[in-house]
Amino acid sequence: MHTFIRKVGVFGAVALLYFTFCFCYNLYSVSYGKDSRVDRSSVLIVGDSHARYGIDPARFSSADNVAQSSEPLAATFWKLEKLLPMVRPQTVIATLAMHNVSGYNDVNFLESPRQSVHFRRLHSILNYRELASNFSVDYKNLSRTLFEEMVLLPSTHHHAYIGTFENKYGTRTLDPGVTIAKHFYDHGQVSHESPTMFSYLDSIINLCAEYDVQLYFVRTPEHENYRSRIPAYFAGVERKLTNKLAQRSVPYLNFSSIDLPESNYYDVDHLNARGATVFTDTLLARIHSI
Amino acid sequence: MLFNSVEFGFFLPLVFLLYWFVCHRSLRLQNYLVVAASYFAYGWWDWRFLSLLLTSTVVDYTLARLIGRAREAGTRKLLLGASIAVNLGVLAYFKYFNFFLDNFVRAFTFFGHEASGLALQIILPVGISFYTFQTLSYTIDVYRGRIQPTTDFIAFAAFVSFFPQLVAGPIERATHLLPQFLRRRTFDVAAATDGCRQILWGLFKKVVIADNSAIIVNDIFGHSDQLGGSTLLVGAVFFAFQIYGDFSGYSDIAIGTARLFGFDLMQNFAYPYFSRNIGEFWRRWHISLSTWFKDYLYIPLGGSRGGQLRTIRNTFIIFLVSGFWHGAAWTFVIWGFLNALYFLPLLIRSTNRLHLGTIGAGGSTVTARDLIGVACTFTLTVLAWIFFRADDVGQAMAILGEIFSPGLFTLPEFTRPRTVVLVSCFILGLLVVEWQGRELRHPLENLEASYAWVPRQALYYGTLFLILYFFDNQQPFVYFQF
Repeated sequence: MHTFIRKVGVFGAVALLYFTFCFCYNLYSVSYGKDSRVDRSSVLIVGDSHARYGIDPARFSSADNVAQSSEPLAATFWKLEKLLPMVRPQTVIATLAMHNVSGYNDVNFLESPRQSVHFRRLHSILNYRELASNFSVDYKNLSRTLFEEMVLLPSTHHHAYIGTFENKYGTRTLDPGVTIAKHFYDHGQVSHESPTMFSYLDSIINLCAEYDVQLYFVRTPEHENYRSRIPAYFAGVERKLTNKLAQRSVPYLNFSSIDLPESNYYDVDHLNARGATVFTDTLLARIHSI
Repeated sequence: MLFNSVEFGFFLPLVFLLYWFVCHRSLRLQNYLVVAASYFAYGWWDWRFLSLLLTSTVVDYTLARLIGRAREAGTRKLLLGASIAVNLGVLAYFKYFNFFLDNFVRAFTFFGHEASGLALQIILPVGISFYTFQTLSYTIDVYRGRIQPTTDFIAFAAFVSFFPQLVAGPIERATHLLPQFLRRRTFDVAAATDGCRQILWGLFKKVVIADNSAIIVNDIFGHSDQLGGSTLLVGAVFFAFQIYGDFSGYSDIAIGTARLFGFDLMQNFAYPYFSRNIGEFWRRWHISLSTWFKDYLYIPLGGSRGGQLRTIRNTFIIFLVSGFWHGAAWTFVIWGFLNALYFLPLLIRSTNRLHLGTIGAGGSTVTARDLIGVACTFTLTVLAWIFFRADDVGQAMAILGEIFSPGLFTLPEFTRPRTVVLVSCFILGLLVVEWQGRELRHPLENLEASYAWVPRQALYYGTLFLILYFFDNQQPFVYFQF
């Protein structure tokens, strides 16, 4: 028996040694590594797919678009915490629409397959204490992701939280059904606002103030088919949001109902490449006029 | 509790330590631990069906003792009949009730009569097909006088519920496994070490081969109406390796785990894809089930005595029942029927007992004829597996129709070409390793005799790394649905 225990023990110990080395290496990479895709720039564009497809950084003199699809405000905050000291922008432009503050965001870290995507992206910047206290989490999946990202292999690539602008071409669909159901309904019932997302709004505002960064919240253009189907409940949420940002003296630039031709939309709530160019120029003009 | 799960990774060492360090002084205590651990592991799936497992155990334990005590042949037969009725009745209800009802309604409708059946929401208890056959073999063997009925209920309960093989076999015979619960087990370092190797290999087959193949198979079979014959054939080939990796991998983990506790389970797969004809294939695939059907159905039906026609009839019955055992759907019955058709020429030419040994055994030359036999046998089984995997007969027929069309000569198209290449490399690796070890119980058996320490450790750690790397792609065990 002792021989067997010794054999298994030695086998396991060697594996453990390897995993420990990988963990230390990855921890060092997370703490001190830097992604060359993001450097010092004047404008940092963050948010979800509305920013990712709708705000073209090439139209700015110096801008980086690090937005990613399905990014909740919590992730935006954690991303800014990491990037602001590194990039030192003068301006942060963050997209903010009704779906960003709906209850749909509260299960980002619980429901498949979103949670896997978020864990993989955010593993190096997750605030675990906040995660545990503010969200329902699939800890099994989180543990598995952390094992794969931090323990299984040594790597310098821990910057999956950094997104990029992407051009979408053509118009895919203008049917809002699936999108509206995802953003604003929970098992057939209208979702409520998410207090957690509202509190992360405050966190983002406070963080930008701390770094003396001019913050703009932007609601990108939305097709009439989509806007008209947002549940009436969210009209009140919008008022609450507008008032809150006004109280905090943060500009909220609402372009949701600007008149854009259908050929500028990729789908009901995303712009295509042409639309992004037009909108970004409009946004720039508006910012310069403020 | 899945073998390839974190929970099992904690469960197994804990039970191992308790078994050999706390309960080692008493055989009874060890058996109690096996029962407790097995019920816990089974209850982890669904605690509601523990009562079914216990009922099956109590019924067959009692009936076997009564059979042992009964003197009159009529009484013994009656008691055996009761055991068969209970076991098969439970299986029929949970597995086949809706199937029969559905077909009954369809038949009525076909003949112009309206009928509506109320399909029940019956959940299939995991492993029911396996443990009912295992307990049934016990009562039949007691009836035949092959084994004395045990008076040790705990040992019998441990035999029925033994957690490594409870949910997906091997289907053990009481004559082989029950005596192991009745005698003292001593720890064997060599057996335990080899058991660990077998577990490692089983996990590789399940996690790396089967689960990755499943991604490709699900993609192809999910869009079979849009794909050409060549792509569909490739999908069927990957399914052949998915089901092999899944099921034989599970069996390897079960056997390896049992060896850690001093138990010897029967070999369930003996490199079936190296078979030179269908007869050899069925001596190497799911051995515990095919021998069960041979001993408890084929031979009582007369076996191969009584002329060729009777032999053919009995063979068809076995394959049809075997197909039906796998699932309550016509696709499985057709799969069984196809295999019986494949077997028919061997029966007619009396060549079904050819190739009893292993291809190229003892360094003998592998002839071109052998290789052609292997290729033909593999092709036939792949075509039959289409029925096994398809959602219904219509889909299977459509896929076969597309394979046997000019579409077969088009280039295959894959949505994940890199995954296809990667998994193909893994399958090639599997075949190379299994070819090297085809005369062993598992290809990593007694590796220290053939390889030095460094390449051995490299193989172990490399295999472990691949298992951990692909751990995320977990797919359900295919045979759990049976």
